[in-house]
Amino acid sequence: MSNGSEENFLREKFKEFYSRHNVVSVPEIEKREFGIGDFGKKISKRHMNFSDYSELNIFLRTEAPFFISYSAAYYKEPAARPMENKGLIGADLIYEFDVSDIDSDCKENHDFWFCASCGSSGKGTPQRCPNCSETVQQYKFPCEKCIGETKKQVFYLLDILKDELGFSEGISVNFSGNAGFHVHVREKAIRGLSAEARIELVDYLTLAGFSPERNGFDISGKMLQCPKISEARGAQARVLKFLIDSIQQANADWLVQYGCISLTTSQKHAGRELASYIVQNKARAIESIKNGLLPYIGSQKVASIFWKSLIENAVRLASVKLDRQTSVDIYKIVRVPDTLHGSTGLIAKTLPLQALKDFNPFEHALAFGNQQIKVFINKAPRFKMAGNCFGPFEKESAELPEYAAIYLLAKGVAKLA
Amino acid sequence: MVEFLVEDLRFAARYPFSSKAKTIVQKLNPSLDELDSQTKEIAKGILKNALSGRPYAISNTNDKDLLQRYVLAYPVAKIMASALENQKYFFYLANSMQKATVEFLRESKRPGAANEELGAIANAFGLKFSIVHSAGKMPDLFEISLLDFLSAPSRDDSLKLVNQKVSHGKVFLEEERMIRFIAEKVRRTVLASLPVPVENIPKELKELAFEALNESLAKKKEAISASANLNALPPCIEKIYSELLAGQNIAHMERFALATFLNAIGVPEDKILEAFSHAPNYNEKITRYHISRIVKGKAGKRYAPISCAKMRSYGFCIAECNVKNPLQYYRKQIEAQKVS
Repeated sequence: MSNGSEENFLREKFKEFYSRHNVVSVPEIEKREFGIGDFGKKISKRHMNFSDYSELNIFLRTEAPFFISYSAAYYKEPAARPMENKGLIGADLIYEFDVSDIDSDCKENHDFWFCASCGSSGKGTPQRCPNCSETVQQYKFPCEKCIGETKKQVFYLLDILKDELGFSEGISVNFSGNAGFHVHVREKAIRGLSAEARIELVDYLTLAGFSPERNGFDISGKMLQCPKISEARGAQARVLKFLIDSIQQANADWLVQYGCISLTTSQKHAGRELASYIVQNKARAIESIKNGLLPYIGSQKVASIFWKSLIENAVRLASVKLDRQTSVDIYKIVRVPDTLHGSTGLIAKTLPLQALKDFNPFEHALAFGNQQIKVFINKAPRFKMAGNCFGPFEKESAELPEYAAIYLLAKGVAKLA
Repeated sequence: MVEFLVEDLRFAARYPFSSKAKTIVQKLNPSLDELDSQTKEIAKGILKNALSGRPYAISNTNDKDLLQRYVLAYPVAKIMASALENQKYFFYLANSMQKATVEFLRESKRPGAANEELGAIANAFGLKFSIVHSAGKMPDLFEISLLDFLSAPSRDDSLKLVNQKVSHGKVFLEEERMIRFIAEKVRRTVLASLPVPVENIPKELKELAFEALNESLAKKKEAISASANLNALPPCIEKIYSELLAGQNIAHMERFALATFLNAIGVPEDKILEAFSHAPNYNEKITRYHISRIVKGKAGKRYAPISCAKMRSYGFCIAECNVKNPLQYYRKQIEAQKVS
């Protein structure tokens, strides 16, 4: 959607930003591989390295790349090719969160798609055009609500890292610059973890491979058992907590919807009776669960299917909603914290943990000022930045503060007017 | 003449990869050319057992000479395995030692008392652990550090981190799981020690190695292949397949990856089932059900082989093949074999 003039304009603006800001966010910089990206392409060149922050910042000021990323890994020769020649020393753990992996009912309000093949468009972000089945262009405008839901996952992860996995040192969080957060675990003890060990950790966080039976949820016998809350540890404790919370908040309709989902037609009546029983005796039911017994009336067979469904639902709720594929790759490169994101013009800001709760990227990650810029906007939903609301826009010109104009230009939905 | 205590020899014979066993071998310091025929036959037996998918086994004896021969035979078995010059056979040997470790450590359990052999093997790996005494009838737990636990990740569901009690950087294991964790460490240690240099080994050892191979289960694969070419398997699938035939427990997604792949290359359903019959927890009814769903599809949906990207995300990718799907690799190999 953009041509060279938008790209040139943005690059000059990025240079201005880097001339005023020093980036010092990459520990042991000399051991890291760097990669840069062009307008519309996050990685166009890899195998770069910088010997110190001075060299990095000179590069940022002169070249102002739209995207700059660095390796989770530490290498003896980070610029060597191919990868095997770099001499891997170890790697940080990096967990990535993106709003697209997290359920939020606001997305239909602010995300949209466009099909270049047939010209169709609509709300949301399907992979393929419902009209002609071609791949569509997706335009995402995350809002405070979906960023807020993503932050909850970050806090959830931080609690697990500390209380379960015992990782308390070297943890750093930054906004991704676009629609999520990155959590870095840099303590030296974890650097030597193998690729398999890292997958085990991701499985632990996402509950992939969680076996209810091996974790004390035994619904095969007359007594339907679960772990006692006083004895539960780790993943089983998380699942148990979400099970208890879901019962606590449930009404009969919810329990019927989630508990009876796998019951046959002839079993559903008994399932509905069980759901009613639990709701009517909620406090006693929860106490029973805390003491290791899943309560039921009537048929053991129906009850075991009912509770199995609720446990599966609790596992789904209890999993950390991180981006699995990027979180297991030991050779990946991720956004350099405190640099600009080329698709938004926002700063991938490092956040002290105590600042995370109140962090709003549309207020606290702005890189540019209020100077008015005239742009022609193809399409954009209503969005909020620096406390001001803008849009919606459709095929119209507008004068916007620099931070908002750059946001739309970087997203590719606007041109300079 | 070096003398050893029978209990030391017994331990070293049961755990011939241990530092105690290595010390005994170093003290005996035999030359390969001077090995007696009994030791060589024991070594061949160790390798043949392994290639047949069976655990390493020793006679129940206190005969010092015989125990000493077992201790010497293990490094010779490693030389023989190395002489076969194929990594998949190293997996077989490592799996064999793993299975044996589980059996021996289970035998050494003592109700109400510490499992001394378990403690000795854990110490040999530098694993620090403590025993957490549980109340009432609940079993005591072994407490080890998370990072130690992650030094030997396993595909066994019972050993996945997500199925353990974890708190503040510690993992708590019941004795059976601790035994299987130690056995996984053994498997990795044995695998990492292979191959050994074989440039100047006596010709006879190489001949015995190939005899063991021919007599063992490794040939069985050809009987399963039918119309598919099992010499053209991509490395990831080859590894999973070899481990399955070696009787190792493989994870659910590995089974899925293997079954969908074998189906896609035309291995008949009953032959796929036959391959899976080697799994340690094989249940014919359940396996037949799952394979049938893959072969016939479900509600019109066909199960395609897993892509390389997905194989990587599960940690199954072991080589850079420059393809997007293991099936692509297979087809390329078939084409290349036709041309040559």
